[in-house]
Amino acid sequence: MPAVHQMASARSDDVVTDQQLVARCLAGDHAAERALYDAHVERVYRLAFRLAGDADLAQDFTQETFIRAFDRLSQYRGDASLATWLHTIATSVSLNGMRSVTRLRNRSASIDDVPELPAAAPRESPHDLREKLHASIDALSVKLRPVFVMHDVEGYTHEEIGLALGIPTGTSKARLFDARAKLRAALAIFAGDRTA
Amino acid sequence: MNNDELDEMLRDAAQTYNLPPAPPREAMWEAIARAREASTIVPIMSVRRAPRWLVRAAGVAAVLMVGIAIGRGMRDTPVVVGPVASALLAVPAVQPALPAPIVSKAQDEPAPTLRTGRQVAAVHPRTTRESAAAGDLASDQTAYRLAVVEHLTRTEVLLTSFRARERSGSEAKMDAQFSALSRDLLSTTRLLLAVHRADDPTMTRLLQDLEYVLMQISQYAADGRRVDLDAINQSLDRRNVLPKLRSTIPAGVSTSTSTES
Repeated sequence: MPAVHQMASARSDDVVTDQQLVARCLAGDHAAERALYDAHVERVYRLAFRLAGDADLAQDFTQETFIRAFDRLSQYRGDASLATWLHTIATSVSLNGMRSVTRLRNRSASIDDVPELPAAAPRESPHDLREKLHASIDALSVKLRPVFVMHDVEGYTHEEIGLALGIPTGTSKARLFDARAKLRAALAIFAGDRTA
Repeated sequence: MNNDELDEMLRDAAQTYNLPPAPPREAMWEAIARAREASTIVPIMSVRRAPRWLVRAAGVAAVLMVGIAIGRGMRDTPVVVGPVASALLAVPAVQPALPAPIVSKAQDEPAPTLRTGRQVAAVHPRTTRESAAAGDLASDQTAYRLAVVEHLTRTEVLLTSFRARERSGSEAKMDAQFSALSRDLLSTTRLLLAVHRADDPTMTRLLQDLEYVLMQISQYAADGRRVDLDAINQSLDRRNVLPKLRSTIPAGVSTSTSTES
């Protein structure tokens, strides 16, 4: 089932709680810092893992997110929920981190790493659908993949995605449309099998 | 299979994409705490001030850069010749120690407006490349000359002040500011010597004399020995430093702090 999460952005009592929590953190209350961490770490880690696909990287990105958040907590104005603010940092940290990792991997990849092409294309099975889909998501561009992962995989709304990525809501919708179209095209062979 | 069915299939399959395990909460919290703790400890190296020689060198470089900027600006901007500039740029016979004026070929042009490098090139037609090269050379020479004049003026003030203190019997009161200024001027002198063109032996000798005397003053400022004081006075007298310095500084440059009679 989709892991749909509701971000605490709409209710005013949540905003007040966020601001109180932030105020306590800024006053040096370590218990409040831990409470803030406990309240948000799971979602931040999930998002980081979905984007990174690697436990170590997800752990690094999550830690970096909270380190930055605590450093910049005085800049939190309460305009958006603390969760939205945190996920904006997490998205930025994860995507920038992935760009660095990708560059490093591309640089270190050698010709020997390229797998040989199969002699004949194997017949696709339903189990292959998942692998093919995962590979196709990985192959999405850096603009499309975060939107698809955040919306269709993690259940963020377009408004939340727009805030996190710094793009208009309409752009988020358009990118999701493009991402789905590319995935459909990549998985067309399965549709053919089913219809045949 | 239609698009809706395919989308549904996609959404189902997408849920297993990079399926995250349970987050290692405690390990991450400990790492965060360690990192934050480390960031609050300011390393000793980061609070150390920059070495004094570096600060002084930066000051010298800044003075030269300002001089060069002024020179470059003068290439494109007509400048009204004031008393200092005219003495510096247009009367080489009176100021033999200074390099030749940059507009020597335009001396017969009416004052007071100094032609820019491009305007001079227009009056005396040359090839474009020669004109540009001449303009660059002229602006560099002007910048260098301005930096030299400023330096000589500051040095003359220091030496005059030194003489006045020495004659009033307060030689022991060599304060830190005086000491720092002498070292600063010594650095500038060496820098000017390093970049000085070898076409003006008089200026080179003067700068070498200043380097020697300033080095002695810096040494005296550090040690405060009477023998150093005597050596400084001998150097000033034998090398005739102050008169040469004053004759080199163009008329009109402020030396109001001079107190030596």
